[in-house]
Formats: sequence, C-alpha cells, structure tokens
Amino acid sequence: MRPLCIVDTCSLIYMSEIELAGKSLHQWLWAEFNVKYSKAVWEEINQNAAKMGRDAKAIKKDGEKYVGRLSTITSCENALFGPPFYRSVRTGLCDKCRRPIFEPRSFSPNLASEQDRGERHNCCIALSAVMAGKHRQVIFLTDDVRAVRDYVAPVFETFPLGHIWSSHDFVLYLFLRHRRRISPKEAKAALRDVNAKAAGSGFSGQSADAPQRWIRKLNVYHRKVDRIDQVISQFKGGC
Amino acid sequence: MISTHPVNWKLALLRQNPFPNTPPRRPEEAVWAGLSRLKGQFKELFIEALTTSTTQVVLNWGAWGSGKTHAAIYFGTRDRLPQGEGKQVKDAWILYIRTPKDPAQADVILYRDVIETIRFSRLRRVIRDIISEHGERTALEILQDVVESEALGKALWLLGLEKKETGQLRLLEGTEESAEWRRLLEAYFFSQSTKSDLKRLGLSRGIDNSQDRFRILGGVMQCLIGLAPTEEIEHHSRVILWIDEMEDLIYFTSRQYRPFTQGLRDLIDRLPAYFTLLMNFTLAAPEAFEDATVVLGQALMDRVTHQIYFQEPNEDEAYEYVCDLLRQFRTEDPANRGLPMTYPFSEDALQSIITALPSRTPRDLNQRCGDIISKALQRGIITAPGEGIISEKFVAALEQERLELNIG
Repeated sequence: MRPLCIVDTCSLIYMSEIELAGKSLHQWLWAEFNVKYSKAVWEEINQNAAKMGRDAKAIKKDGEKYVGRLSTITSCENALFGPPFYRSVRTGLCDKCRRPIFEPRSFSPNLASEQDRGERHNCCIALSAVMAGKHRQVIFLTDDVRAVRDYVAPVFETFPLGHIWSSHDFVLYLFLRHRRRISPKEAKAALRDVNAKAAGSGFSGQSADAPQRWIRKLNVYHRKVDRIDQVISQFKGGC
Repeated sequence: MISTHPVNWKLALLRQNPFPNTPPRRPEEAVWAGLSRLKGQFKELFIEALTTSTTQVVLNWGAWGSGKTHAAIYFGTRDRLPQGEGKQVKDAWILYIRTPKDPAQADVILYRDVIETIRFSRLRRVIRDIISEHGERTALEILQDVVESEALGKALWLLGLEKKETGQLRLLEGTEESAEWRRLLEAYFFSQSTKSDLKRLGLSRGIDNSQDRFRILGGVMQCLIGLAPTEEIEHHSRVILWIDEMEDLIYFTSRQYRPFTQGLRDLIDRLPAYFTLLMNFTLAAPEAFEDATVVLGQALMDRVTHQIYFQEPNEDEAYEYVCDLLRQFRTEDPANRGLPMTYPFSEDALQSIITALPSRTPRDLNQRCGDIISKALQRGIITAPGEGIISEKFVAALEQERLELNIG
C-alpha cells in the first residue's frame, strides 16, 4: 500500500506546472502516495486554483475524492491545539555565534479563525489516520513555514505521526526513487523551480535577508542531490 | 515626562544627518568614509580597468547593509574613478541597474534598463560618430559584423541617421523634423514597432527574443567601447555595468533563469576587452562562493575574474568609519572648541556603541549612531552648538530602554 501523504494548499501551488522526467509534480505526487487533505484545504484549493495553472483542471475535477472526512474534526482541533499548547518562538540572537535562539512559549491560537485552518485540520487527519491504524506513519507535506512553526511542528514533536516534508523533500524523494529516470541536473532544476515559487510567493513583502535564506536552502538541497547521486552510484547491482 | 526638542543637527556641529539608513540615490550625494581596505580594492580594480583592455567580471559580495549598493552609487561617476599613470582609456561609461524584479520579463527589463541608463539620444550620437568616422557603407558593415545580424546591425546603424522630408537618410543632427523618425526607432528598440513601422524603417524583422536583445546589448556596448584595434587604449572607452541585487535571481525559475544568465555569459564573451561587469550579491560568509554558484550557475562563476568581499569592519575600522563620516559633515572643527573628533559622542561613548553592536556593517553603524544622536538632540542633551555631549552613561541608558522595548 502506498504511504499516506497529507498535503497542504501552498505545496500544491508551489509544485504546480513543474515537470520532472515527463510528468508534472502533481502527477508524481498522486502516483507515489495515497494523497489526502482536509475539507478546509479542499476549499482553499478551489479558491486558489488559478495559481496552479494547467494543473488546476485535474485537481478541480477529481480533487474532492481525496478529502479526508472526519466527523469529529472540530473537537479534535480543540483538543490538539487547546491549552497547554506550546510553539517554538525566536527570542533573540546568540551573542557569540549570532544564530537565532528559539524557546518554547505558550500559544493560544484563535481556532475560530480561518487562517491556518487547513494546516490544523490536516494535523487532525494525520492523527486520526495513525490512530485508526490504517496508516502507521504519514508524510505531512507543507511549505508554509509559519504554519509549520505554529501548528505542525509542535504537534509532530509530541505525537509520533511521521515526517514533515517540504516540496523540496518531495523532489529529493523522487530523485532517490527514480534515479534511473531523473538526472541530477533535472532534479536540481525542479528544486530551483519549487524554490523560486516558494520564495517568490511573498516577493514584495519579504525581509531583506529572505533571498539569502532561499539561496541557502537551494544550496542545501542541491548538495543533497549530489550526495544521493554519489552514494547510489556506488551500488553496482542495486541496494 | 521627557521634553522633546527639534532635531537640529547643527547643534551637533553637523550640516545634516551623516548616518542615512538607505543608500544615496545619486553619486553626488554619496560620501566614502573609512573602510580604506575596501576602497583600495576598488582603486586597484578601476586602475586595471582604465589602463588595460582586460574584461573584468567582478563578484561583490557581503552581508546585507555591508555597503555594496553604496559603492555602486559612489563610483557612479567618472571623476570618482582613480587616475592611472600612463596610457588610459579616453572615457568610462558607468551603468548602474538592478536585477529585474519581474522574473517573467527579466531579459526584457534588463535590456530596457541598460538602454535607458545609456539614454537613447546619447546612443544615437555615439552611432552617428561611428558613421561619421567610417563612412555610411563601412559603418553599416562593421555594425552588422558586431551584432552578427544584417537586420539588427542595420537597425543600430539607423540610430545614427535621420530622415529628411524628401525621404532621404542623412547623418543625425537632432532637428525637430526627425521626431517621427526617433519615435520609429524607439518603438523598434523597445520592441513596440508594428509591421508598418518596420516597413518605414526598411527593416526585415524586429528584436524578437532574448538572444536578439543580448546581441543588441553587446553591439551597443561595443559601440560605446569603440571599434579601434584592441591595443589602442586611448581610442577606447571602458563600459562598467554594475548590476545590483543579483541574489534576486533566486526568484527565477529554471525557464526564466537560463536565458538571463545565458545572456550575461554571451555579453561577457562578446566583449572580450574594455568591459567591466560588477555583480552585487548579498551573501554572508563562509559558504558565499558555493551559494553564489548555485544562483549564478557554474558557467557564469567560471567567468568571474575578481572578487571583492565587503567584510564587516572590525572595532577599529568601525571607529574610523564613524569619525570620518562625522568629519565630512562638519559645520566646524570640534577641536576649535576643545571637543573630541568623535563629537557629539564622547570617545568612550562611541567606543561603547561599537563594542555593543552585535554586527557592525555600515548600515548597523549608521542606524545606531543616527538614532542615538537624534535622541540626544530630542532630549536636550545638546542644547547649543557644541554645548553638551553624548556620554557613555546616556548610551547605556538608551540601550536599556531598547532592551526593555525588545527592539533592534
């Protein structure tokens, strides 16, 4: 059985209209995983379909099939994000190495707000899937760094549900799994594309050091591609 | 309650605020303070640029606020470039542009910005001079060779001409009757021309794609440089193209990024002499070179001939930077009143400001020093020209306030 991948709207937007080895990243996603998302995400998909270009048509046509239904989602959300709930907050910079210092701080999210409801409900879907035993672990695919900080990471730190991936991780996974079809150069180009889309999504309003952070991220993933390529190329008869 | 006084910089013996938070807009507004090591690197670079034919591709890199844009603006006029000894180029064209913010039209915007920075009318006069020097027929052949296209070369050639009422072409004079001709040429070079415009210009095709645009740019820059044999330095000009914010290439997808970087590579390869490309790149050490390679691509990085690192000043350099900046904005020498050269700061106060800063880029120094002087003036620490001084105690009190507000 294919693993469960719970995906967020922003990742679907960033991965749209990007091809790798003759298939769009959306096609790869549905081919590789059992895709699910919450009803809130499905509503966001419909609102933002225009941002998915030529991938919008397919997802609008069949997308409702992948909505994870959970009748108790509101009570699950209240329990999961109700007090005591902590998130990691940047509290300053280290005087010596100048790296940011993060500390857990109590957080009371406004659960009535629609903002980030998609991520919160996706967390509920993930918890429910693992508890029901249908899927032992999940891949939680999102590129919303703030939502990860506020909701997803705190949940996944406490509840061993699986792994949080970004679109970059998904491309890296495809390269690992389909290395015979995907060259390092193609993987790097796809990484550049998802990176550019993710970076550019807040182009006008981002902080001055935003480009540097995205450059660093792209570099890190390019190096991962090289490392995977270097290791796998040593396996003569397969692993 | 703290009473607030107007911020009158003259009380601090300064003409105006010497510590701006943003780079100046025009070269005349830019001053260079301290940072002599960095200035020395530019001096060496520009002496080579003015006295040799070598094409230079320069990667300027450093943290945000380290002074890259300021350097680009400061060296934006010919008189800021150093004077070399012996033979040197007759002139320098200094062109400053920023990396296009619309990745979907990056090559179009870069092309347009370069042409507009040169100015269309100046470009026409340059081409006119080439035609005047070589004669119409030979000039046409030379320009067609330079851009490797008959149609594009002819278009460049037409820039140096204008149409008489009789319909005949003559050397550009710039009279009123040529306004329509100018409109046709502008429409052509900015890819706005209609089929009928092309017909009136006698051209078979327009500037259709990214490759054409970079060909034209290469041709235009070659015309600015001059067409004399390479070894005749005095018969050439140096084109210095300064592209700021190259880190924004991270916002380009592969499809947008390839033609843009390919175009820059072509430009470098088309101009093997008298061309300087400076690329400002905001990156912090130590992985900067690797990061830059990811963004610019190996092929462009392989063409880099010089690197200038905008290193953060150490405490002594930062102290020198602030003092030099204050000196350049003085209304009078503080020594005449028995005040230190650090005035309106006491020497200890300035030292404590610099020591306490977590990072000391020029932007950080400007921000903190400007802020402290403003507050000192607002709070009446300095009451009349040269009366009152910013003490270490005042700096410490402001630092405490800042921490309490949890800002900075």
